[in-house]
Amino acid sequence: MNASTNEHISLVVNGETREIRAHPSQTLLDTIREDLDLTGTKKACDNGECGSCIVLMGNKPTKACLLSANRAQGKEIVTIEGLAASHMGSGEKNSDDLSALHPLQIAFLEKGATQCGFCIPGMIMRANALLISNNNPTREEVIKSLSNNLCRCTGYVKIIDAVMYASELLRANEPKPTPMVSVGKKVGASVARLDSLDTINGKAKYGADLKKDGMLHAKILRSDVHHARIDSIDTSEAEAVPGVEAVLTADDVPGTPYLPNCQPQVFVFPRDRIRFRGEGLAAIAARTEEIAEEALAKIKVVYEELPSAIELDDAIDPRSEPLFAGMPNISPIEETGCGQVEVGFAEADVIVENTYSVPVREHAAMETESALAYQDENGTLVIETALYHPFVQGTRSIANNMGMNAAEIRIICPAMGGNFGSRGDTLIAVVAALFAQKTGKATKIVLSRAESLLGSSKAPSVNIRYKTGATREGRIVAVDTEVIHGAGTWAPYLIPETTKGAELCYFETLDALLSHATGPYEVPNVRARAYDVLTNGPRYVPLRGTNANYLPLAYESQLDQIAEKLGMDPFEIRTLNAIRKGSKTHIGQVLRESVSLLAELEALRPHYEKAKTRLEKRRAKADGSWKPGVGIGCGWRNIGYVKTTISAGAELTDDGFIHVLAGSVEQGQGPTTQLVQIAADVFGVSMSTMRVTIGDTSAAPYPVPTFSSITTVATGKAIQTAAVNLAKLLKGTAAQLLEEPPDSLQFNDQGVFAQEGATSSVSFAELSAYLHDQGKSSRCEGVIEWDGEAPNILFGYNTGLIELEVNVESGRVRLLNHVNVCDPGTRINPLALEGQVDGGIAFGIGFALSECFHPDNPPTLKDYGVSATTDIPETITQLFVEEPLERGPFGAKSMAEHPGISPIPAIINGIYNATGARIYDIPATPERIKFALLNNRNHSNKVRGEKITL
Amino acid sequence: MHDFDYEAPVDLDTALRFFAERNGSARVLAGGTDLIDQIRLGRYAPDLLVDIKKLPELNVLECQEGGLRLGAAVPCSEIYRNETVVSGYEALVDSCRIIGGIQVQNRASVGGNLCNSGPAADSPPSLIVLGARCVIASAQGQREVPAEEFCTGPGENVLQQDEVLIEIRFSSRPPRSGSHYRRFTPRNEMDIAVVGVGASVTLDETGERFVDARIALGAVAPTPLFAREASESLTGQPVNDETIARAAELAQQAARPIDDMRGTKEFRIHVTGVLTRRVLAAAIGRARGEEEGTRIGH
Repeated sequence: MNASTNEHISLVVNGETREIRAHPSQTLLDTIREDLDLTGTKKACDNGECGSCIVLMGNKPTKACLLSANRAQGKEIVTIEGLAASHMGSGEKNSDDLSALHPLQIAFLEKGATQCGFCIPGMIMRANALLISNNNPTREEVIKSLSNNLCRCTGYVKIIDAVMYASELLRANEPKPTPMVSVGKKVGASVARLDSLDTINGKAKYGADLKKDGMLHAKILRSDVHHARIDSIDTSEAEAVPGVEAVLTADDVPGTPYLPNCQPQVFVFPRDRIRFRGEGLAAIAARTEEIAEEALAKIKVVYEELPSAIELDDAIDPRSEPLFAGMPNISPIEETGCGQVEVGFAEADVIVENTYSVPVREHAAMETESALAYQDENGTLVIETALYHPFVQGTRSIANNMGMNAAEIRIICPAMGGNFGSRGDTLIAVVAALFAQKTGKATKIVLSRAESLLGSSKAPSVNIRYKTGATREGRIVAVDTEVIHGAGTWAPYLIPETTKGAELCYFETLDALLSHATGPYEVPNVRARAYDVLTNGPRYVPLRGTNANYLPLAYESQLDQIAEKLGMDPFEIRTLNAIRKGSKTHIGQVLRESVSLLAELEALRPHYEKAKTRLEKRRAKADGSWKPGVGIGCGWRNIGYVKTTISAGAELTDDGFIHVLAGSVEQGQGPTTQLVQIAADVFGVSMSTMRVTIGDTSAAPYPVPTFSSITTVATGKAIQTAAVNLAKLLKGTAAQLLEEPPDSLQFNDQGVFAQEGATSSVSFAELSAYLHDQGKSSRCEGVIEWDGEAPNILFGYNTGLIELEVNVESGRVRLLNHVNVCDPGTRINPLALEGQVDGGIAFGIGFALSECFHPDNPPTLKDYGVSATTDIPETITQLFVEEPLERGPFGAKSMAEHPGISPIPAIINGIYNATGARIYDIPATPERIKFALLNNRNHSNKVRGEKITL
Repeated sequence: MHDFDYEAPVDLDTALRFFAERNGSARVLAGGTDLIDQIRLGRYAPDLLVDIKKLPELNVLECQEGGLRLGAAVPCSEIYRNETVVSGYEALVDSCRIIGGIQVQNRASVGGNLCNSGPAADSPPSLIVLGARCVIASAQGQREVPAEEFCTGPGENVLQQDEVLIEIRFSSRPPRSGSHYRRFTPRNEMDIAVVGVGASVTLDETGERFVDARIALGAVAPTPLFAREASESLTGQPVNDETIARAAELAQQAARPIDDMRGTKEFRIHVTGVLTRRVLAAAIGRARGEEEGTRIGH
């Protein structure tokens, strides 16, 4: 940066005059975040698309990432940190005092509008600008005004609810209600998230917000070709740039040069071959990000480009070059099934067969990846980074690359701006750690959005051939399917069998995919085959609902086609074939507990009947090009694909709080709150008596991944057990002190008291001190052994309907109404649960209608197809079937993934119902719908040999 | 980001002198909503940014007898908040309401949108159908270029290194005229048009015959496109489905789109036809002073 051109800028930020010097190229966003240290304003897209950086400038909503700081000269700016004070109109500062919150902040707390929280400051500031100009907006006005603010977690419903509620609070101008933050409600209570206060105040610290004195900034050089042989990488010129402190290439990785337990090998930096566009080749740490970027441009990579295979068909072609020497691009075929599939089809009266495709998809968490690494005072290497398995991926995997012991590394997860499966990549953590080790200085790396979109791991592309046979009565008698799973440059099929299970299974492999092959239906004759294909695409990692959300496109489409041929209602054919208690799946697993599909269908039935009646009316008065339709869809997803031991802890703190500890991480899905609710319920005390530590490998050393919907059901149960054990210990201890039988004792928020003659009691702090004096630890553990029927422990089920309209001229789809039924077992926090379902629905809609990634043309967030407020259905109704799961905590099942499945087939079937156009390749873009309407199936370059025989 | 100097002159002569002296290494900074991003992406590496927001000539917005004068730096939101403009130049207002989103409209300008010269930009089709003229200044003097001739390729236009677009001028609107701009995006809140169509019509006293019509297309060619044959096919013709369909067909023939991630060539041509019909219908409705439907959407 040329200091001579820095200009003096005077701003009034949150009521205070701030003088800074900034170069004209510096954005207002960087000024606010870096110079003024107001990190509540977020950088998520950095190109004006997502609204996370909105501040008020002269009461107008302004995207700070698109404005040069000097254009704000003399302007009054309000950020999230100053919102409450700006509303109070006095010099009062924002604080944790709830009465000092802005009505919008209160509303966001009470309505459960926050999840990971990363987009929330921008949402609140945008909504504030709306409410300043209009304190009585309609719901449509709120939707419109927030339509340029992206969120990946919430599905927007509760955010819109919150803005509507805030406008009520503003108009009422009455004393504000107190948000339910620490009220003593427990399991079954809709309590506000314990972490949401920091979110709505802008105080939560995400990776990019972390700072250390004198820290370096690292940047990674990424390949811009799909496939090449590396001749040389020359960093000498880059090293000479003043301010550059260290450079890393493949030569600088002291331990294993690739991620352990991955075959083929995923290199920290490749030595001889570039295998995908966006692959990291070298890295630079410098005093500033700008210097690092400047130096990056001076690294000289000499390479020879090789032919690349991005599409599955190209990679499968035997003429294509193997991506890894001596290893075919195609894995061995994995096969499961039951009965005799040929016999089944011979019995079938109707057979439907077709091919389907799902594109590569991006997680698009609102926070990009980051890591900050440093040595702490004990010499431990600390890495603050968001990982969903901070133990195995974290300490263990990173230690392997670093040539260290896992015990020498501590991972702390900062606030995480969404995961959805993306936080499994340790590469940037390794880069930051290597720099910290090499330079002895704290080193931070934060990916830009463009870099994250290009270089991060993705969900696989999947090609499906699917064939269903059914009898005249509609009974499914045979399914035959073949699934081609595009693994990019990383095929989990080669993870050695010995390391597949237990602690190293951070991949759900083809057998998990195949166990979902039939959908949630009883099918006597099944052949399901799958294989992985290596391509020059981005590396594969799971994405929310992985393994379970590709095949519904096929099996749910075919059920509708069969029903149509047989003159059956789509609803009845599902009821007839639905899997039920005692059913045996095609892989031989007998489903004994919480099998809720039939109950879900019955819950949906009245809504479906009403939707059909409405459809008749809408068809009668449909205007011109918009055609109404109704579709339904079902799905299932495994919960807890882990065969391992899961533990958690509970203890008393010295100052008398009940402290629960787990290895899970908070990624917006809510364990911080939920685990506390579970433990508080065990004790019968209020949540304000509780403390919680998660996401820290040293402070809560209970190795567990946070994926595959296992947190509630497994970690939750471990917490419950730990709490029960602690309760027993405390009662036993108190019994000695009070000289009362343990069974007569009870807990309250202060401690333990005797049931009769309530004067006799001992406080938690006294109990803690007593145990301490006795030389005993209060730490109790809960241990869960998960060795159930492989590969799935159990399933979650999902059923839904969609009422929509399709424009037959343009192919656009408008979603009117969605009813979603799912089975949480027991609702631990109904408000949080609804938020999870809303978020899942938004994912399902994106998969069905818009999301698609291609490395030839890396998109922006919007081009990629993240749903906005205007893309979600006008109304959403959530129904819950509660069939308690014996082994879950208080009967609860995990809920993060399966509610997003049914919208995908429901939309595809609804489009057919509306127009007669059947979509085989998602996303169902206007273009694909339009060409399907024109009967031009070959348009997407896929030859469809559709066969329907009766 | 690339390092550069910054100037914010308060008179036009000074500003023009910067451009005359810098030999192509200076760039205009108007709203900055695109430029900041482009510099960050390394698409431009200017040595000097000249902020034109303080130049009075570029901030004029007035409707006179001779027509409308729109300074090149006037933010979009200022345009649609000005009722005089709204009443006569509907297509321009339609464009301004679409560009960016409210947070961007407060700063983005029509002049900037035009000078950025993106093939899919939302203002040029409206400027073309409203017969706008671009006033270009340099230290040597001024010249005028019709809107349809301003862009010469993707990101390219007629401006020489020392020239600045200072104003866009519109003639006054004849009676019984109406105009409209609409774009198609696969989803509601995408920022870049797959196809954009603008149309302006003037009807005779019966309201049943075209006196004059202009149709322009965006995102279907390397530059915004004046669909001359489609426009001329309507002159003197009756207003009916047939003449409108014919114009739409001619508009489709004029389109020369490419395949990209947002849409294929075939689909863009298809949408050009659909949009041209809809946009003409809306412009005709406005020329007749009819109530606007509630569902103008896509």
